[in-house]
Amino acid sequence: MGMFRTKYDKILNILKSKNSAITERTVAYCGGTVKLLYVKQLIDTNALAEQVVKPLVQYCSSAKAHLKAQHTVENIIYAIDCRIESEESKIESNILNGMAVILFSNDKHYITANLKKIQQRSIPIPEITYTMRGPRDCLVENLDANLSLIRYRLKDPNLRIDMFEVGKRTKTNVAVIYMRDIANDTAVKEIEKRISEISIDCIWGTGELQAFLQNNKHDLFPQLGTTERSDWACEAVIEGKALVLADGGQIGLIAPHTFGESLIACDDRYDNKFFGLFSRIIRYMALFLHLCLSSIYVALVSFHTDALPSAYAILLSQMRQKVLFSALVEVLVVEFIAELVRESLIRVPSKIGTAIGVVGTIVIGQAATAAGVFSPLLLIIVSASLLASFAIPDYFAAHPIRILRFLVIIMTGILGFYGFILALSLIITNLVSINSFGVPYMAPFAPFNPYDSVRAFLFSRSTSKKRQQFMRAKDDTRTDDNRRSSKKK
Amino acid sequence: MLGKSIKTASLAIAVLLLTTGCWDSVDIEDKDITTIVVVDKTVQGYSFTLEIASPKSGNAGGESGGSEEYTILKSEGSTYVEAREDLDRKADKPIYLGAVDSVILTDKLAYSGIEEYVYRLRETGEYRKMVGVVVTTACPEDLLNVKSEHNTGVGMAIEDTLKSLVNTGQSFHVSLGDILESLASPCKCFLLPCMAISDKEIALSGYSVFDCGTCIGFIPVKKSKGAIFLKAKYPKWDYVVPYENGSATVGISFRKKDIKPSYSDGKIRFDLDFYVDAKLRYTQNGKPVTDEMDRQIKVELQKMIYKELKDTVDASQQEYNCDYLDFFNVFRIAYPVAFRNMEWNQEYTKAEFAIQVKVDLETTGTLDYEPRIEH
Repeated sequence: MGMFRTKYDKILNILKSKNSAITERTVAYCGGTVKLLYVKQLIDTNALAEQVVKPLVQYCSSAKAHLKAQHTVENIIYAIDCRIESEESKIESNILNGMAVILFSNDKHYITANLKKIQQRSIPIPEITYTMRGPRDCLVENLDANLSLIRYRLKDPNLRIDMFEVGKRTKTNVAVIYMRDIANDTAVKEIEKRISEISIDCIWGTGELQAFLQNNKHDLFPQLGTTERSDWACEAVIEGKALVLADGGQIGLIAPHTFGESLIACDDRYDNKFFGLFSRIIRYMALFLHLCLSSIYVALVSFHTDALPSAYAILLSQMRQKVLFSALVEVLVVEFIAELVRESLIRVPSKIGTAIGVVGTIVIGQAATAAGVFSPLLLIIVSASLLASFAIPDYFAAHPIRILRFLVIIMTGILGFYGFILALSLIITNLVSINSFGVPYMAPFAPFNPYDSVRAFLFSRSTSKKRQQFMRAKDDTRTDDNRRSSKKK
Repeated sequence: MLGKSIKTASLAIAVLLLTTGCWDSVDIEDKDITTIVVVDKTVQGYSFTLEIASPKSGNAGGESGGSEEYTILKSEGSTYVEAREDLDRKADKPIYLGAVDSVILTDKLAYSGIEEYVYRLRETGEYRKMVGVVVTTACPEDLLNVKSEHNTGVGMAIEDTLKSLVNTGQSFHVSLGDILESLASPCKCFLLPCMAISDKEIALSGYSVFDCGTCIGFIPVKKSKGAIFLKAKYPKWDYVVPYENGSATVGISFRKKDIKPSYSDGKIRFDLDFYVDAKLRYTQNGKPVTDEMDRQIKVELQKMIYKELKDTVDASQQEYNCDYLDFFNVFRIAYPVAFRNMEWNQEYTKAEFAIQVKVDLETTGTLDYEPRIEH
């Protein structure tokens, strides 16, 4: 008893005074006491009672010798994940991390038992990247659950998971997952270096983490891919990329990442490769339309009418007879309203969203054209442009395009097609000059690689024995002719 | 550091855009969209007659597509500049010539010379280089008051008529760019389609022959087949070919034309070989074609095509004394030095032509009107 008082009393007093959530449970025996410290909300209390308290009480009722941490772990308690520690300074953080800490009056060592119980969602279905044929299990906010989804798919012993703790106050667990024998070491080291260099008080998920991992904090284009799907996360790992998961975030980050990969949908892997080609051509066209369609309208109406056949010129003039604004202002206003509708629809519950959609359609589509505020052709163009944006599979990759569209529109409105080309040149120059952890962002088109370029459109695992060359993976072959899948006996 | 560079770049871009932007651009609805320009030679000097599309908005209710109406604007002046200034004074909005389908030159202007006007078109840059140029024998007001069958403007009607003829291989397109090219060449001769009013409709009446920008003659449409054979890309015609006991209608298309120039002892010679695919469509009496009939039709057809070509070449050499059939292009490529040292139009009239027409006649696939039924 005496030793317990002198060794832990001070710490216990401090802990209890600082944090009233910490619960203390004492088990006494003739030679001393055992104190259990935990936060009730973080602990599976049933497991604590069954695996720790019950065996301890039973043992203590007949105990004659002093209890030691080592002996307790080995012979008394049933908890699976136990550690013996001796650093007093870590007691508080262990308790706050959801561990049950067991202190002994006669031992300088203590036990931390992992009996965490965290409220979590069940495995959800995809919300951002819907799939027709692919698996539908998605990542959740719990890192352990996410790791189990990855492990369930990748049974390779070379799968490596490096753990980090980020956030001075949140102590968010971050996992970097990669294949030791495939992933490019330089990229992995760079990712891990950037994660370990993060100095911030809190990180709530991978979304925030992404900003810290960018080459340049002001870059518009994301140099990390995102996925909510566990199969896609595993696919990235197999392709030699690093997957970054964080506690509290249901989105996985993938690095290195190229611009072209933002246009690959999960279903492409499951569809016929020619349909995949068809879909990708449509997506590239959608990207172009989303970025350029409204600008082309401005250029044709205000500057380069002679590029139109005369019948179209007359028709266009006819459509704009009652329009109040100049083409540039008209496009900016309609685009702004379209963005407004889109933003509103995303942020409100789906039931209200339908109403907003109806109001938007009626107000913009009917009333505005009837009143002659906007040209009907422009509404068709903006609607098509909006639709095109939804054809880009990586939802977050479309965000820079949404912003840059306005740059292209304004520059076209000022300089015509010259401004249009100038704006596109600026965007393309930016795209080709950035890299994602050593991989050129516009790979495989710039620098051009014929093998990868063909497969950027026409991909089937059955006809692509080599991995993407621009990834510079350690093992760039997908197949091994000497090996066949083992037959289960 | 980064913040500073972004600020500098943003400022530079903003200044560039603000100072160099095309702030004077005019939206399409604020322009007088002109579909046709008729240029005439008058007592005072020159006149422009424009057909301007006056589209009515079709937005009301979002249902109707609106309608097009055309207004006619006329101006006159002693020079082209004065006529244009007069036009600008009369127009409500800036005149937009980028949508002009056809520039029509009256025959009066054509005979007095169009060179100055063509150079004016080149310099103003308001027209497209591909704009069609045609000559008309009608007076501008009459021409622009003709109602087209699809209720479109006269400009579109002329453009559509010519396009349809070019697509069916019965005419060729002459653009402003082609005229400029011809005027820049040593030959300076070209043909322009001529449109006239026929039975209250606008129709192709023939081709005006120009030498050095001045009209020197007219080839009526009935005598223009040879020129079309030589100038159109894919000429196609139907011929009614007489044979011993009737006539056969044969469709022809040119498979290949081979023009080989030769030059020796100061004499120019052209070997023209025409390979023609002919397909018998039907015979007058519906009787099946025999071998003898086949031979007769073939020979007769060869003679007919040969005559068309021979007459056309002879007319260019003897009647008009100019190479509007563009033989100089072939000769120039084959004999560039000799071509540089000669006066082409003079030498051309002395050139010798050997014309050969080879016809492949297909008589299969026609209907048998008297089938034999075997029991």
